[in-house]
Amino acid sequence: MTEPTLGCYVYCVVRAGAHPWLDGLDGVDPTFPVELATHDNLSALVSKVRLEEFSAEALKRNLEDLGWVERTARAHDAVLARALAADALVPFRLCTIFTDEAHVRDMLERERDSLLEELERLRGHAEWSVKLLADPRRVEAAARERSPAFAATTTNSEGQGAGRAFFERKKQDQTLRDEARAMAEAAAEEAHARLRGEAAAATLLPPQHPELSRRSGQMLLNGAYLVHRSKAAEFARVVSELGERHREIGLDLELSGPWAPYNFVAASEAKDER
Amino acid sequence: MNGELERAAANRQVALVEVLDRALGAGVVITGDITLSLADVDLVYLSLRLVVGSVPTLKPATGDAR
Repeated sequence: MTEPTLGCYVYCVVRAGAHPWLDGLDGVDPTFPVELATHDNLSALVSKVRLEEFSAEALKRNLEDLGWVERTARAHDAVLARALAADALVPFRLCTIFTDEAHVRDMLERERDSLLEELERLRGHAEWSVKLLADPRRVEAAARERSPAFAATTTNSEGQGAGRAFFERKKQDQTLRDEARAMAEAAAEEAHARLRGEAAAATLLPPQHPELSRRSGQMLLNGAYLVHRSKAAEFARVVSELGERHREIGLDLELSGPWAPYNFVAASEAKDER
Repeated sequence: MNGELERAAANRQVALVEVLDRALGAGVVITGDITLSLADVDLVYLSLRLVVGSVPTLKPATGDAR
């Protein structure tokens, strides 16, 4: 069996006639330029990839290499960012690869209706990420301040047996931690509700792994929000306002974007159906 | 308010995990004829598990990503 040496990598689909600026853009395999493969009223952003690096077999190996995954994911995202700057796009999952452009056009024909529907819905929108991180010590300090009972009880335990005082304090510490946690979670829920109100659509993502996010603190909210271009500045203002309000109780809000609407395409729900 | 948007763009540059979360964990799943879509790949690979698997609870990480 002789494998073809090149495949056709698909980044995303845009409306034909959207002209994303592709000059000087490196694909996931920097040897080959990013191009448009057009069929009727749809264009896929594609580039050739060498199968020695991107075949199913090679991918199994490469996906274990975080350096390779990082380069590939960043290149993938950079192409999407260019498309986003031009018009609506439907992002494809990393490493979606076809035999050649003809097969990509077949796919565009097959998926035409749903792709056009998605492009229409997403027009003018981008995804924004908002995270809320809690610094447990600062949150506990804030909870202590808010409940005078805690401040009082620590001094009251004098005069009791040492053992009993110890358990009393432990119990109080636990109550304080619970209180702090409830306060932080309520704030996260409130922030999400407010932001959802500013967005066309919203979804909650699982909190990120602390080692990978390289952030200290507990991530209590990892929200993705689909926001129309004309409302992005207002959305950012609301994030600022929420951030200021929550900072004093030890919570930090972080906004990032604009992202391609990765989390707002219908087929991304396929992962739940499988 | 512009400052917040500028910070957002800067955050976007820095955060690798955000890119990975999105490129690996979201986006349309259409199976290419050469590779299985990543959604079909059994995610037995450590690097992917760490990223896509995120942390199931809010407790401190134990180094075990699910």
